[in-house]
Amino acid sequence: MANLLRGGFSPVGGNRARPVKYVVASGFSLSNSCVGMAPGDVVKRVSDGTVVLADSADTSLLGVIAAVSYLDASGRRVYGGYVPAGTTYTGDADVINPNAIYCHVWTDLDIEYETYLSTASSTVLTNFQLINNSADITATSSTSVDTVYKRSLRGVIGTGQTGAANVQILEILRNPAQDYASANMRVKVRFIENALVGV
Amino acid sequence: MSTATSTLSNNWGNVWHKILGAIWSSSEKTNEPVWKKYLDEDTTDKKYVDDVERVGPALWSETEEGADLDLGEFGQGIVTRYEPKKFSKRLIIPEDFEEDAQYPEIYDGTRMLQETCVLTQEYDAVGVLNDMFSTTNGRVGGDNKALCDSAHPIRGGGTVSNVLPTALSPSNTAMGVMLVLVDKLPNPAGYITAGYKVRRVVGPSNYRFRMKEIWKSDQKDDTANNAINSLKGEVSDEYASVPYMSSTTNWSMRTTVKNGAKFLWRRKPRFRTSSNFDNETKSALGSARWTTGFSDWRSFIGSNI
Repeated sequence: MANLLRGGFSPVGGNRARPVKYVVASGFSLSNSCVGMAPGDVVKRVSDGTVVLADSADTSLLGVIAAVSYLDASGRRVYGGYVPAGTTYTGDADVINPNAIYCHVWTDLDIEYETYLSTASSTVLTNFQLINNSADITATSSTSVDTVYKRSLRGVIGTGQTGAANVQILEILRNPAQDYASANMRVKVRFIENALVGV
Repeated sequence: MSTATSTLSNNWGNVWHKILGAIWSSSEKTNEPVWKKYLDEDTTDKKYVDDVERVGPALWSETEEGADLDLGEFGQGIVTRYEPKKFSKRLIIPEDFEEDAQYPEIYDGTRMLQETCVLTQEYDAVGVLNDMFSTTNGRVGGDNKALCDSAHPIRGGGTVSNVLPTALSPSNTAMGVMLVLVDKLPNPAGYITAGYKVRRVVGPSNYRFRMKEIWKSDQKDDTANNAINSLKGEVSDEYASVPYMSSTTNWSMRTTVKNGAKFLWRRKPRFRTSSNFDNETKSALGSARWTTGFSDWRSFIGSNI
């Protein structure tokens, strides 16, 4: 029985303070042909105060996108979607600019997220030994944003032995549909303390 | 005011005299529209409406006593917009023609319009079946896929197919394969619910008798080993034989999904007549507003052969 793939980071526990409103730079570009910024994705703060998607090698993260909104070509503010890469606006990149792209981010360190582990051993014991180990967030790509369901498809990968090690696996979720010996297992993770900092 | 009339010039001279026997027409459609067998009928009082899929939460997690319960999430899925189109036609008939015609059927504009109104519905509705496997004509769902596609996206990054993996002609085996496919159809959250059932088989008239053999035989069709016909009684409704389909080979099963493929009325047909005093003609006109489409692609499982 394979696991159902369900990408993105969703808060499932911990102290959930309200998400904080940030802005995204006008005409922002994303690496690896990524097509946009969507809820459930991981962002980092860059030096001008705006946020942009974090990639797998980033060790300084800000948090997870709760929601985004932006002005479309007709000047209508779009809620509940994803922001396509290259979206532009007039005015400064600050939260009081009514034209800006807004990105609401969960920044609280205590939040526990549910996501998927993109690779796994075929041995159940080996997978359970990952608990309390660290892992990386998966890389952005041309398919890491679901443009139909407007949701990030990113998860975590690896065992923390190499890479950025920016999340900690707290638990492998025990629900009846889990295949504990296959990829895409549901896991509960938390960002490690020194990862959630601004640049 | 138009001065044109709808009668064909000089073509009626030999029918309005008094020895006329009977009148017949190329369309004698009096039955219930065929589209009602494969589309759900619905109405709206709005200029356009959006059907929205709701994606439910994941399965419950095993939780330690006293521990905080995991937070679930649900959200908006694919969105399908229906914007009804207006269809209309009018006829202008000279009063002189009425005076000379022996039977009123000849110049009964409303009746002629009623017949073609139903046909217009049929030819428009069958587009759902004709474009079932193709996006060429732009008939796509909220996920930008054709009604039957091997890779409908579901939330999270996975895909689901609602076509037979290997296209098959109608047979006992093919029906069995498709029935199992429907049993295992996942819901918007990606979980098999066993909640989808087949309502009827839909296809071209070419399969009309073949389908009867497959579904109505007491013993398994086309074998000589006396096996029972296990398909018998599996599907409640009779085969929907659709003569308007452009394909003579593609066939499908229609499921019990709510908000599947539908025929959406904004306004049912309205017929009016009026007299034009300036040129002594009568106008008959009809119009209606509707559209067709599909919200949940799970309403059909298809075989594209």
